[in-house]
Amino acid sequence: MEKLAQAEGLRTNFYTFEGVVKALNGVSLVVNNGETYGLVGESGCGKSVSVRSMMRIVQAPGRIEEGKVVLYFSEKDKTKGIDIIQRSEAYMQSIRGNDISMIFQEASTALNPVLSIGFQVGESFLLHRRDEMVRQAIQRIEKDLEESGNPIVSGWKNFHKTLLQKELNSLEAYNAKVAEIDNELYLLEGKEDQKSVSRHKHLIAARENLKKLNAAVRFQLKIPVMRRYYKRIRKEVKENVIELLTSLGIPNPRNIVNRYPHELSGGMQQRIVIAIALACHPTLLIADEPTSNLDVTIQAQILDLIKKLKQTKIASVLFITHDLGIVAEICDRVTVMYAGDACETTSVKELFKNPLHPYTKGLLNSVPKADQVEKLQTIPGTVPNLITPPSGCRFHPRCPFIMDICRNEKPETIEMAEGHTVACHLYRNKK
Amino acid sequence: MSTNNTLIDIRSLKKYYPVKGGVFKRHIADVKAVDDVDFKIKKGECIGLVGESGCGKTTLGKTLLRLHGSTSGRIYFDQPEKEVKELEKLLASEDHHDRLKGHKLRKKLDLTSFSKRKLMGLRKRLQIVFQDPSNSLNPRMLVKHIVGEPLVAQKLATGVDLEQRILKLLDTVGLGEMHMMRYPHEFSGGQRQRIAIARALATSPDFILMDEPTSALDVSVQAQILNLLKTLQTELGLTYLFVTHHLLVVKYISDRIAVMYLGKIVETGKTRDIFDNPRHPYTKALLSAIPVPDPETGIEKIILTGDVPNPIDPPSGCRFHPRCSFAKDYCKESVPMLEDSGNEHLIACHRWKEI
Repeated sequence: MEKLAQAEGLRTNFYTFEGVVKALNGVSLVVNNGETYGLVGESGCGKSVSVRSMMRIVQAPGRIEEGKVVLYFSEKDKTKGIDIIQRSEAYMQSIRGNDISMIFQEASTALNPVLSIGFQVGESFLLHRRDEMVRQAIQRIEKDLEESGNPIVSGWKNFHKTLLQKELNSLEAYNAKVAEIDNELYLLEGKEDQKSVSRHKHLIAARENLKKLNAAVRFQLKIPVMRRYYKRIRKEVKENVIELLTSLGIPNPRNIVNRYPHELSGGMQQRIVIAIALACHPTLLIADEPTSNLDVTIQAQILDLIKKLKQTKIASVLFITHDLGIVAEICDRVTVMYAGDACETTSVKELFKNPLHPYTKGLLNSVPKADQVEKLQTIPGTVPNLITPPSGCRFHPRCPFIMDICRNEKPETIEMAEGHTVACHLYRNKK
Repeated sequence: MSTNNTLIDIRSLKKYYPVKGGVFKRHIADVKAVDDVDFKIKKGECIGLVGESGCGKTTLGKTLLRLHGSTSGRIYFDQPEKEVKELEKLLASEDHHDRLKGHKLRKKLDLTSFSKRKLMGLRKRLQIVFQDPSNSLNPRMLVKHIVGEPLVAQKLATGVDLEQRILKLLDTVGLGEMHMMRYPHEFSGGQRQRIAIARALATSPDFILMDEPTSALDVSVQAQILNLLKTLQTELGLTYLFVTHHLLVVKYISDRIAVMYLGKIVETGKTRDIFDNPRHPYTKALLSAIPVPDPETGIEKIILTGDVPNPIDPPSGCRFHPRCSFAKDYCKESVPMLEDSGNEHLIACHRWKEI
């Protein structure tokens, strides 16, 4: 199995008024190429924070303190990764939405209520694939010029064509420069001598300062008569959005692009959020509880859609959920999280057949089964407050198999079988 | 009281919410949240009411408790069967005088036409546990005041007696004396729901409406609350109406299930019957859509197309027909009635025998 993304020892804290919330306590996870990877746990156990740390979008009082996030996205060498924690914000912007994208929880709050659907979906086209849009606009003008013979109209169109060409040149120059810098940065990755480190720093700063559009293009976008050509790009974006929505099976997309989020139902809003995430064909799709407040029948529709996309468009899916039923249905491999720790990682079949960690066992027993008759078994107590997390193993106050060592020492992750790791003192000497 | 075992009997209950618009706020349309619902709840049973959001589950529950008025229909709460039958006969009669007599009698039997004073006395027998405990508990009240409020309002206890009863109530839901002088924000979600349950139990009711009591809770806590509710039911002989959209929870806790779609009940029956042998196409789709926590089930999913239609302008005939794969032309025209297939299994579908 090829790795696609890997988090190593992620530690994220939130500096709140009440104290420091230690949300992640050294989480490591690996997403392989071509799999659907599940992240399960109760609310407040750090599922969302883990993926937000992986995308570096942890919000204000939060900070990633430690750890690595390595992406293996390079075409040339699949085994050499890039640690994105070290990279600049500009680099992250080119990654987000382009290589990794995210479907957020609660579509109704993820969408902006004052912008139309077409605008919101089109934003990622404008940001990541602007050159392509400009090229399409030029092609359309050329086609129109062949047909129409009116000299005034074609003069106007020719004028727009030159402006578009200018913008295209600027974008192409930018892309070439960025590709050059990224390539050199990629070669420097992992080298630790003085010279390489300073060169690395220099390049990151240089990339940060690059401007997408040169001065002439920025000027032409400011002059009222000239900037009308921009509408032609917008039109291309809209066509692309409609095409995307059609491919996702959204009915009547030509009408939908002009509507606003509140006019759509919950399931449709969720589909729009998925469309935004898929606009640039990401390699890794992160789905953060995409179905948690949808009805079961709509949930089935959305899960089916994600499954189909997995087969056709995207390489891997990282699926966050608290519903073990969904995990059983959609995931290949799972990590169970508890209070900022990754407890157990294994394949789905193994998880349901042979759970090792006491928390996983408790979680599986507390869900009503399809043929549940006897009383549900429960885990006593509740998820601890992470400002003052329990010492040692964070699960020890609720664990039925508690030992002395659990109170003092954080358990190491042990590989019990191939691809089945568990972080629990119970299995310390068994392997 | 006669020896009947029906606790609640609902007859053609309707609840429409008016939609107002235009310059003079004219009444333009109705949201038909509950439309012509008949069903019975037996003493001591737990009946699960399931359906998608917006199908009128909660409205039905709240109308049942008269937390808001109904548009039309009758609700009989613990009334002798004989008199109910007589009243129904009078109301349906052709004769004007009989109908007048019926309306007089209705004030005595029908919950929807009770006076305020009469309702007040009944309130202690009907209770509710709301969906989200963080919203349903007053953040400025101490736990002992929250739990004690029904007792004070109904003038059931004062002074030391009150204190002792609160303590006993907290004890039944697994809380203790140290929790009495705290505010709701000091508790976790599961504990808050326990407080809400203690409050509902305070007046020792016969019937409790559970309005999605576990949907705001985590899985491990949900199991604790479900177990608590089950024990309380058997110990205190309570009757539950368990409103939820989580089908596995319903299967675990309830004896009977009613499936609702767009303001109508489409299928009712014993839990086992419904899960083993669903007859209505909507129930079939709903049940197959549940994600089962077992990777090797191999159940084929029936994926419905489209969304739940707007209840302001519901589809004609059978309300499920635009999403139903078995729909025929007559489904668009005539409204199916609940038909008995034996063993208390009722289905509202024109074609249940064929499919």
